[in-house]
Amino acid sequence: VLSWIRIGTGDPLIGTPHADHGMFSRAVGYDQNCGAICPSFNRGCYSCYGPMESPNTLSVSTQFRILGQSDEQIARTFRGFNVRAWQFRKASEECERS
Amino acid sequence: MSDGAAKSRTIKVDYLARVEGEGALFVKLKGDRVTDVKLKIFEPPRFFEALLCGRHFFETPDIVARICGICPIAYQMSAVHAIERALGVTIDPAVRQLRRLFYCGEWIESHTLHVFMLHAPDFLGYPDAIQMARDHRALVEQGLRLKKIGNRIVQLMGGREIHPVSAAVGGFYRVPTAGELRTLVEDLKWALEASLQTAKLVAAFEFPDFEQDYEFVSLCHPEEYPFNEGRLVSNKGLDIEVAEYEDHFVEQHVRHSNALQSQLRGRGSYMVGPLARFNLNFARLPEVAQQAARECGLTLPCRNPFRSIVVRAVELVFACWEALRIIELYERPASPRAELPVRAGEGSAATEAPRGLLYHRYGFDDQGLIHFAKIVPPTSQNQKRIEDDLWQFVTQLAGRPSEELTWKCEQAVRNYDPCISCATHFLRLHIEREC
Repeated sequence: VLSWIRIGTGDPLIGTPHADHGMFSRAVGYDQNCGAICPSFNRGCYSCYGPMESPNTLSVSTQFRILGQSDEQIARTFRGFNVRAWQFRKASEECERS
Repeated sequence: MSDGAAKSRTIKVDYLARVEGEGALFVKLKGDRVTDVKLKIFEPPRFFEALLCGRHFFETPDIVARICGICPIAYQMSAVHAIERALGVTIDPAVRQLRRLFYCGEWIESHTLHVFMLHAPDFLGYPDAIQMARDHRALVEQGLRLKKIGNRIVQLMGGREIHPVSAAVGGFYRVPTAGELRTLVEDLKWALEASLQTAKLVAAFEFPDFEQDYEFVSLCHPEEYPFNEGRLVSNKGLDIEVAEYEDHFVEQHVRHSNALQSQLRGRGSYMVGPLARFNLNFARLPEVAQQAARECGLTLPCRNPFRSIVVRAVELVFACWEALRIIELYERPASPRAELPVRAGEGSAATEAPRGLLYHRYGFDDQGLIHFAKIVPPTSQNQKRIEDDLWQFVTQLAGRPSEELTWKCEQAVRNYDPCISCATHFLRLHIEREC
């Protein structure tokens, strides 16, 4: 059980690329950066500050899949502004391979 | 002196200061005759239109915000309106008002930056605002405080001052409560007074005697000073729907600029921005802003681009007044955003960025994935007009010493508050492979 995961809040955007990035923020980044602005605005983190030092990208991908996202959607999520961060790049490539 | 014997002079500014982004200026004279003018935009292209392809339309407000750190809201607003048009979605009237308030915050941020920090030093004879602060401390402090109030609106509504996170296709991710908005009122009352003072102060600057027969282009709304809606109108007979934009305006590539230059088909350069909005929408300004304009000696049409600093100050008055009005009448919308269908579509929109008209068009497939994006920022549209101004302006001043001429030319460029980074996102990448 990934107790730190913040699952959707009845957000009508579930199923879109923005769905449940709330968990994204907990898994990959916000603690050390912005103070979790996006979750406080009822939306998911899109990781604009990039990955935290040791992001758990595998758990994130798995949870996105459980929530019904396709591999293409998940790959796109990792390929935001910080796709050059090796952790995100690797995670997105794994999505493509799977 | 005959042309043959005339001495050639070149006015060069390798890095234009006090403009956003990287550009240079090149003016060539033979005797007193101008033979060449180039606004060289060498900032590298940023490929935003190409970056958007393959992304979901829900992602656009976050991506296009990065085109500009000064006017991210403008990009978000043009994008969401274009996509909403493509989806046939109507937004809640209260959300519509909030979007105007959001834009007020950005206009206050951006206009204050330009009036106080970027343009005022030209008129007061300082190389920058830091040096100006030595002798005009109160002025600079007033500018900083005003800017901070614009920042506060954006932060409250969008989570942070730059690249706010609340704008969404269909509305907002979260809308503020009436109580939250009321915390802005005292500051905005001060800002309104400060803007009125600012208008008077800048109106007393000395303006070069320079007027051109411009074609002004802006949105026009029947009741409001324009932000997000209206027809596209000019003082020379243009009156079209935004959807018809590309039938009338064309972008061209010129060798010396990494930003496409926009022109009106068959008519050439045109001007967008505060001067255009003011001249075409004066009647829709609230009385307090109209009165300020009159007291500043502005008459319609204002054709002196150097007076754009006064018009920006009048728009500051408007933005503060409008923000107060919206806050006073605010009722929190039942839902922060409209339900959206995900289906194929194509749509365009234009909104009024602080620097002028900002046009977007998107096409996306039945999954909502973008396959086409076109973005025409205000600086692309003003670029040709800036060069045209310089041809005329330098001709007027050709007898002056080079140093003075250079200073004046830079000032003439800054009349447009160009945002070079915004303008250089274009270019489609063509890869040719030989077998």
